[in-house]
Amino acid sequence: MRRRVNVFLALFLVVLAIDAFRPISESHQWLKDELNYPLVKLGLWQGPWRLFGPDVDRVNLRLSALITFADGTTDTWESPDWPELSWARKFVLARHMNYYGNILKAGQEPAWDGLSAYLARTTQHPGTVTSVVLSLRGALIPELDEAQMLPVAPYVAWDPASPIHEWHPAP
Amino acid sequence: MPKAAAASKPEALGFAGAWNRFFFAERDPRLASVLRIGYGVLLLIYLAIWIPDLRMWFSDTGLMPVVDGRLIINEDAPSLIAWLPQHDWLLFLCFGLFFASAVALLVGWQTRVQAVLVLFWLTAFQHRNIAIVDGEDTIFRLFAFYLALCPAGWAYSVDARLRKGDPVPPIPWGLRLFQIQMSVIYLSSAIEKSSGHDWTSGKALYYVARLDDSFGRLPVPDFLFTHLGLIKLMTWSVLVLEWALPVLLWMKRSRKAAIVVGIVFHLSVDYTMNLFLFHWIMILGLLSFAELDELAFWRKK
Repeated sequence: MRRRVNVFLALFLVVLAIDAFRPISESHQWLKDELNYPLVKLGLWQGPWRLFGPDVDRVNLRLSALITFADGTTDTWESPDWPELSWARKFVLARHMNYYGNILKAGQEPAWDGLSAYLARTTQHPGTVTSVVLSLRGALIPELDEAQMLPVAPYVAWDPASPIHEWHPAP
Repeated sequence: MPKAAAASKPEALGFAGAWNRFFFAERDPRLASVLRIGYGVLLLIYLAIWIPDLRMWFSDTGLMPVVDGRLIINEDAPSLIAWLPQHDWLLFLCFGLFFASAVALLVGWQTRVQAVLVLFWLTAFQHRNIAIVDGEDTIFRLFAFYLALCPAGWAYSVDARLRKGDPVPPIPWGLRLFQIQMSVIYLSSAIEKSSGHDWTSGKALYYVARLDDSFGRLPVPDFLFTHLGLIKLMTWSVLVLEWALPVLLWMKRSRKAAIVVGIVFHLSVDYTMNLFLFHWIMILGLLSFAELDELAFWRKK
C-alpha cells in the first residue's frame, strides 16, 4: 500500500509542477498539452495562478442591449452597475460578476448568442422580438500620473458604447 | 533450530528517508476533519448562492445553452449536466444530489465517497457553464480531491461515531497535498506577477483600486490608494508575501507567523475586494500548516 501511495504522490507532484506553472520550454509546453486531457477529464486541471497578474486589467466594462420588437418598439437592458450595489448584493451576485467579465474575454463570443436569446425570452415588454443588439462601453483607467492622481473610486468615465453583436431569433 | 529474532527495519537514509518523514511522519489526523468541516461550510455557502439562479446558469433556457457552453470550453471537458436531457427536473435532481453530498461531507458520513462525489459534481457544474467560474472554483475542486485522500472522516463526524473498535489513527499524508497546493498557488502567482510590469513597478494596486466590479467592497481610507508611496509599499508587499510564504510556511521558526500573516493578508484583501469565497478557501488551506493544538489556542493549558 505504501508503495502505491508513493508512486501516486511522485506522479501527482510532477503533474502539479507541470500544470500549475507557465511553460518554461517547448518540452514543458508539450507535457502540459499532453497532461491536459486526463486532468480535464478528472476535474483536476488548474493552470498558472494569475490572480491579477502579470498585469492588472485597465478597463471597466458595461454591456447593454437594445431589444427590438416586430411593432418597431424597443426595450433596453444593462449589465449591473457594480459601484451602486451594496457589498451584500455584490456577494450574492458574485457569479454574475464572473459571467459578465468572462464572456467579454477573447474567444467567448459564442456566449453572446445565449445572452441575447435569454434577454429576448425574459424581456417584460410584450411583443415578438426581432433583434437584440449587444453593445459594449468601457472606461479605460488612465496610466498612473502622480501629478494628477485619480481619486480612489471605480473609474467610470465611459467611452461611447459600440455594438459588438447582433442576434436574430431563428425563423 | 530456533528462528533468529526478526531484525527491526532500519530507517531509510537520504532522499527516501526524508520523503518518508515528510509524508508519513505521525501527525494528528483530526486536522483533516477540521479542514473537512471548514470546507463543508464554505461549500454550502457556495451552493446556496447558486440556488436562485440555477436555471439561469445551467439550463438550456438560461444564459448559457448547452451548445454555446460547449463552444467556450475545452472540448474534452466532461459534464453530466450537459449530457443529460435538458429538463429542469433533472437539473434540480443533480443539484439536489450535489447539495446532499455537500451536507454528508460536512457531517462526515461516508466521507471519502462524498469527497469524490463533490469533486464529480463540482466538475460537472463548472464545466457546464465555465463563464461563471474563477480561481476559487479550481481550489474547491482540488480541495475536494485532497479531502478524499485524507482521513477527513476520522473525527468530528458520523463516520467516527459509527466506527467500531479502537483502530490506530491513520497517517494523514493527504494533508501534505493541501500544503503543497497552497505553496504552488503563492509561488505560481508570484511568478506571474513578476513577469509583468504593474507589480514590479509598484503600481498594480493603483489600477486594482479603480476597477469597478472587484474593488470597493467596504470603505477604505482614500489616502491608502492615492499616495504613490503607499501604493508602491502595498503592491510590493503583496509581491514579497507571495514569494516568501511558500518558504516561510515550511520553516519551523517562521511557520506560525507565516500562517498568521497569510490569514491577515487574505482577510484584508477580502475587506476591500469582491472575490466571493476565494480568500476564505485560501485561509482554510493555510490551516493545513497548523497543528491541531495550535488551532485550539483558546483552551486553557
